[in-house]
Amino acid sequence: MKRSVSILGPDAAAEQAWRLCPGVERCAPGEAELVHLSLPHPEREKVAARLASEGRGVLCRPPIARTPEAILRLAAPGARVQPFYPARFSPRYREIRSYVARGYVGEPCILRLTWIFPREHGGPFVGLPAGEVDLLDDLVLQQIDLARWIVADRVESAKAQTASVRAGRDLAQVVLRFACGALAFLECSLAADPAAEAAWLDLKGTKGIVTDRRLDGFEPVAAVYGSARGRPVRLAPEHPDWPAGSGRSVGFFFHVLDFCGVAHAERRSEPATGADDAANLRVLEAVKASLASDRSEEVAA
Amino acid sequence: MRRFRVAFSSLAHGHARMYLKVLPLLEGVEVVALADERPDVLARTAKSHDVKHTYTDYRRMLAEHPGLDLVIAASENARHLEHARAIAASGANVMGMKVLSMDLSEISAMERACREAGVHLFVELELRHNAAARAAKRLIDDGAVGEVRALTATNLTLCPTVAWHVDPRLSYGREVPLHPGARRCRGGCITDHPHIFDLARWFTGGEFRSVWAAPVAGARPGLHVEENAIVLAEMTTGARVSLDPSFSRTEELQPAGRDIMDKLKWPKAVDVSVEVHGSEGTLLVDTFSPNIYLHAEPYPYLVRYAMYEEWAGLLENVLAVLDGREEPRVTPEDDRRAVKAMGAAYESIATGETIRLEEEVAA
Repeated sequence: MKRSVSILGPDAAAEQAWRLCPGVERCAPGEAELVHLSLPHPEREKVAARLASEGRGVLCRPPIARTPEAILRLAAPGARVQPFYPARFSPRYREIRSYVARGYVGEPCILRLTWIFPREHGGPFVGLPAGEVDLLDDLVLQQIDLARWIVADRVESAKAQTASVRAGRDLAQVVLRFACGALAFLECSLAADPAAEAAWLDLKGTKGIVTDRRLDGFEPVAAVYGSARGRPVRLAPEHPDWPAGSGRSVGFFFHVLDFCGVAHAERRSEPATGADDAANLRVLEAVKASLASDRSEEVAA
Repeated sequence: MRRFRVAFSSLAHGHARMYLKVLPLLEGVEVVALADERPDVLARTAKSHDVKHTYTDYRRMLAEHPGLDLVIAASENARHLEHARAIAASGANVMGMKVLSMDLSEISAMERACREAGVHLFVELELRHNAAARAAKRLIDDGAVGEVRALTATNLTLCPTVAWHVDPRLSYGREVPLHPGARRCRGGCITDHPHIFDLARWFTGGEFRSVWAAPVAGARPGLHVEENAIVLAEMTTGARVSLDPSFSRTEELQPAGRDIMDKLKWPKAVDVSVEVHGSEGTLLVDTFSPNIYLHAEPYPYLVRYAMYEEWAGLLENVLAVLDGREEPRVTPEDDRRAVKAMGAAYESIATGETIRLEEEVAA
């Protein structure tokens, strides 16, 4: 196996003391009740199915299978295989989602999600080592789920473009149109300088607006913020194989607790289901089709 | 020191207020006359800015004040050509608003009228004079971020409540439905926000090669023009660009008579923010910062942009051009190219397709 799995022992979740395995063959059936599976395609689906058949819970890097139909089979109710969309457990995004659900901002009109990260960081909410993060299959997929969750509607079409800013395809700009008429603009960059990252969300609704800003490592110069040419990396990874900020770890932690059925004060989460993962994959397929056609593409029903 | 005699042929455009705030701060400038068809607005403005001569007919003003150095044509978009021709014929230089017109042939007609009269046609696109935008442009030109490969910009302002800004006949020049059968017409947020189209050209150093756009309704179901939109584009340099020129919904109604800027709420009065993604680094440019935030009665919340350096920079450049000391930092050709891309955005909305623009050889 190329990638490790993250394993939680019976009491480990409360202590965040998970262990990393280099491969599934090293993960004995009696050792772990829950497996965080972050294998790349195509091993993911097969291993998830095997672990689930052993009675273990599987938090699986999405999409958990290669087709929507396979996702729905693998994550059928009671299967204890769950796609890993930890942004839904971020306190800030949960708060924003609650504003929409309570009607504070009215009907969503435009949602803007911007993630600007250095490739070395691996991006938010994915928890993968640098170099193994795919711009579209990992990060944009996470953004699609976040947008669907916050707007709470079906995506009808997608238009996308990408750029090679530093190396390879490392920036995506995606516009999603929802059935309700709302638009989501997703921007995801892995081309930031190593010391800098930015993540923000703007949601404009018929009655209000929500703005969420985070800027790390962008040194303000008057009204211009910049970072260029290799400033030192400030964010110390919490674990060699888990290069994540605390927000991500907290999100993951709550996800795990929810998944295990452990009661905790933050238990108001809405984890993504297999149906969500299948819907996200269909949107991602429309995004990829748009990149090929340079047109807006309909999302398959 | 040379003295400059300045007049306004109209006060219809909201930017007239900016000019009236900044002009008295510039040395050697005298605002000699104001014209506007609304006597109440004219009287109130003349009183608050201490301008002696007022006219409800701008042609009479031009006739009675020969030798004006500059006339600011702060009229509705649809009347810019008419005003520009009359001002040029009077021998005065023309300060045109952004946009000069959404009709490219009208921009050419304005240029022709000014050329034949031997006067300058200036255009606002005042963000080119904004301190943060200029600092960012210098950093880009100095290679601080390497080659610009992608750019994202927002221009989110309040929805103009001055009626003509959202009347398609006056803002766009005519009624053109956004797409066949649409109730809303062209002339809204895209027409009102050429700056980010211009900044995309300025920062990337390229022209628009292709444009795709989508509109979305917002808080104002009764609006007859587009309220929000998102644009994706490719530049001739290969840079990928996203633009959000949407009207904000963050303002709240204020008592009648308040300055329009007092209507602004969170996050600020005017937003023009730009991300520049380069091969060597990233720039985040917040052109309308800092702001003053006020919590006090009778305002539940007030955000006021207090820096007017882009207006001062624009006017200083205009006066220096008239004095023969500088070249214009922005030209009608810049406006034409921005308008061309904006027209492509409307065409994309109408057809649902990505619009390819013919590449022009730079003059």
